[in-house]
Parts: sequence; structure tokens; C-alpha cells
Amino acid sequence: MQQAVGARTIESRRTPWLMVLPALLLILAINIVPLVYSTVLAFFQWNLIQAATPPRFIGIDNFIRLITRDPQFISATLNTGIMVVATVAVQTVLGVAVALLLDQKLRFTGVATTLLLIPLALAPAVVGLLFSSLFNSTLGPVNYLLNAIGLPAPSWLGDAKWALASVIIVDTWQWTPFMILLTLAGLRSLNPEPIEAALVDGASAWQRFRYVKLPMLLPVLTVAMLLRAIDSFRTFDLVFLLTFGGPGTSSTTMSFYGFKVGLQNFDIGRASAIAFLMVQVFIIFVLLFYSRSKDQL
Amino acid sequence: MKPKPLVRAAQYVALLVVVVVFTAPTLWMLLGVFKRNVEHRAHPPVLIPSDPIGAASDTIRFAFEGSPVPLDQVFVNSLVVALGTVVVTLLVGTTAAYSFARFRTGGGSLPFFILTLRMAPPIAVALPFFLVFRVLGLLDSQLGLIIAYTTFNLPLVIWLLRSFFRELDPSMEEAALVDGASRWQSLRHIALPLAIPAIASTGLLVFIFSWNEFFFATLLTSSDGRTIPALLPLFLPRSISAGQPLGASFFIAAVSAVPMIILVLFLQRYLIRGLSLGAAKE
Repeated sequence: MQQAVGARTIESRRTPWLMVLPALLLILAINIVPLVYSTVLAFFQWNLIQAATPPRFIGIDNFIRLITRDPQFISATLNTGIMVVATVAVQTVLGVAVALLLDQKLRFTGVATTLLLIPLALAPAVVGLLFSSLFNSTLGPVNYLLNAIGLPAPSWLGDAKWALASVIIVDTWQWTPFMILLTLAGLRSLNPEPIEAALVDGASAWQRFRYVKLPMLLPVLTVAMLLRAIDSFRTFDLVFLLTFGGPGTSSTTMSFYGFKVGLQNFDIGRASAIAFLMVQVFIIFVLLFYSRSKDQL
Repeated sequence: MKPKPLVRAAQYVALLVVVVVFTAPTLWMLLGVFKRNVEHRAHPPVLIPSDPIGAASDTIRFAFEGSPVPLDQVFVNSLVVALGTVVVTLLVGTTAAYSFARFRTGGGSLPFFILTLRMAPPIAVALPFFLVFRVLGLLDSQLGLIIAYTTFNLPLVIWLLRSFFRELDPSMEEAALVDGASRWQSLRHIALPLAIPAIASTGLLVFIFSWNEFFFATLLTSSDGRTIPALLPLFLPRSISAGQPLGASFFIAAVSAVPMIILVLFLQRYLIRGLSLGAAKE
């Protein structure tokens, strides 16, 4: 009997780990090992096109070359920075504004809320394809409408001044509904008492939003903004379908440049160095995310 | 306090604008399937196609004949890869999520560390995958994509189901343990049946994310293993020869999009919960 109980305790102490073991082994094999491999490759020179040349250790040369002698990389880094800041800012402001509208006691808000899910269902590649048609400079309906109301109609995807902006606009189209619906869920779960108290005290609609609702929404909004930033940081699909990084490098993001270097020029070492730098930035995002989301998730 | 009629009217106009802006592009896609090339190029844009049936059948025929990989095979690839990823991630992820939720296995930071793998820049694992798959012959294969998609969906499954199991009242399971059931039995017979809806919703999310995935599909497949999104660039107007139906790309896009739109309408708010990693509670 004693023995049976002892065996059972060991069994039950082991069980929690047995339950996570398959997942941990899988994650080790397909997430961690590749990440380590990629990190190691960042310090090697290895080009698959020169099949005869084996990988050669070159220390931090890949990084030095990227930063000092690769204007395309610098441009991709800047573009990615602009992309992250612009998409997060625009989508947050628009998202909160539309959520406040949907939170009014209007009819049809239920239908509208459901329709807002549709952009989120689409593959980013599908969205890219759709907007390459909508933004077509001569045939597209967007420029037709702009012309019709007398506004200038730029060559969205073919003009270096507008290409990155187009990617940002399309990303905003797809992801603003996420910010809207998340904010709306937040608004509807707010404690109504402080809002009613502010109303009794004669606060205007703007004051009620700015000083009562917004502070209460801020924790969940911050998490959403960080998630959007992390996602926007690795933008690839939209660029591939809308502009293919061009004209020139005007809409090339870091992910897209890493793809070009690694899988079009087959410069594995340099592409791994780009991936390594992206992971370092990503870790900063994650640390921020962790400190902001501990109580939210 | 009721708003003034003028304010109300402005709110309805704004609501209409919002709905039009966020639905029109999808309608444009569906409309594109039914238009002839002259109508694709017409100014003003054609909203009512003259010969929808004829145009659509030409478009669809070209999509099937012009596709470098048979379209039905691409469709099957997408289906197999998405379903395969759902099965693998749920099978491995559910027990792990349960263990993290109930026994705090590995402390609080291990689940969070796993979650971060969901969001990592995919290029960091994509290059090693490309190199290793080349050697193992997994390039252009369904299995290769299932492996790649598991990297970012397994962390999501673990995280979402963990938060679900934590919301589940543990008293029934505790009672079962006192009565001599093992932890496996209390998971199998008590927690799991209650978790079916959450597991199903999570599975649908994984299906959508895998079905829609583009980056790995583009990098790790080139012909036989292509999925629907990875086929799209080949039907862009710049990729097809002059005179071929421009609607073909809209058709492929619609084949990709319509099933997902239906799934998302089923999921409703769970989609936002999943996308926000649980920050938005239902």
C-alpha cells in the first residue's frame, strides 16, 4: 500500500511535465534549433550560388558590411521604421474613433461590426492583390474617384514617393478593423460608474472620453499597439504583391530585403545577419510587450 | 440626453462611410470574376457586368488551364497543409496548455516565452528551413509546410487554450483527483469535454492562419507544393500574357477568401480574442 501511494506521487509529479514534453520537444526541434542555426550562419560567409565554396567563418563582417556598405539595407531599415510608426499611429487613432462611433446607440452597428471582420479574414496576399487592382494608376477605381472629385491622382504603386505610403494605407485597411473591434470590446466592458459620474458632473463628450474612458482603455490599447507594431515590423506579403519592394528600394522592408538577399541572391550569411538584427529588435518589442501585458493576458 | 438630429445624421453618414470603405474592396474582388477585360479597363469602373456568366466561365477556365500547377492540386495542398497543422498543433498543444494552466509547469515565464515564438520574424527560421529542407527533400512538400506552420501556430494554441483552461473551474477535477482519478483521467473525462468549444475555435483560427500564410509558402514551395496564396503572384496582370482574362487573379483570390470569410463569421468575437492573444476577453 505504502509503495502504491509512493508510486502514485511520483507518477503525479511527473505527469505535468509529460503533458508538456511533446510540445517542448517539437518547439526545440522546429523553433529553437533553426533560430540557433540562423544565428550561427550570421557569422559565416556562404553563398549557395558558389556551390564549391563551403561556408567560411568571418566574424562580424556580415554586420559591418550591412551597416557601412549596403545602402539598400539602410533604406529597408528606414522603411520598416516608418512602416511601424505610421501603421500603429494611424490604425490606433482611426480604430478608437470608429469604435467610439460604433459605441453610440445607433441602429445597424451590429451589422457593421460583423462586416468589419471581413478584412481580417483575408490573406494579406489576397489584400495585396486586390489593392494592386484598386490602386492601378490609370485603370483603378481609386484614382477614378480622386479624379472625379478633382483631387490629384498619384501613380500609387509606381511612384517612389507613394509606394511605401500605399503599403501603409493597405495595411491600415486590413488591420484598422482589429483595432476598432478590440477597442469596442474594451469600451463595452468598462465600468459604467465613473462615466456616469462624469456625466452628472457636466463633463462634455470629449472630456468623458479623454479623462475617463481613455485612461481605462489604455492598458488593452497598449497591448494591441505592441501587437500591431510587432506584426508591422515583419511586413512581407503586402510588399511582395503590391510593389515587389520598388520602385528602386522605396518600399523594401527588412523582411523583404532579407528574402531578396537570401533566396534570390542566395547570400545565406548576409541574409542570416539581417534576420539576426531583426530578432534583436524583436526582442526589445517582446520585453516591452511582456512588461505591458502581464496583467492583460 | 439625446443627441441633436443633425449629430445623429452625421453619425449615420460616418457609419455608412465606414461600412463602405471596409467592404467595397472585397465586393470589388467578387465583381472582378464576372467582368470581361474591356470592363476591367473601363472608365468609369463597371459595377454591373454585361455578361457575368460568360465572363466568369472564361475566367475560371483560364484559371484552371493557365495555372502552372493544376488548380485542384493547389486547393488540395492548401487544405491538407491547413488541416495537418490544425491536427498537429491541437494534439501536441492541448495537453501542454492544460499542464501550464493547472500545474503552472515551468513557472509563469515558460508559456510566455513560448508565446513570443508566435510573433518572431519568420525569416529567422525560414532560412534554416530552406537549407535543411533542401537536403531532406522537403522543399515543395505538404509536410514541409505543416512543419513550418506549426512553428507559429503551436505557440498560439498553447497560449489560447492555457487561458481557456485557467478560466475553467477546477473544483470538479480536484474532486476527481481526491476520488483516485489520475491527472490524465481528469483531463480526459472532465476538462476536455468542457474545452471542446474552445478547442474547436482555436482549431478554426489555426486553419485560417495556415490557409492564408504566404511567406513560408513562397519560400519553401516552387511548383507541386504551392498553396493558393503562393499562386496569386502568378496571376497578377503583370504576370499573365496580354489578352488572357484579368479576372483570373480575382477568381483565385476569391477561392482563397470566401471560405475564410464564412469561417470568420462563425468565429465572430473569438477571432479578436485570438488575434489579440486573449487581451480582448469575450
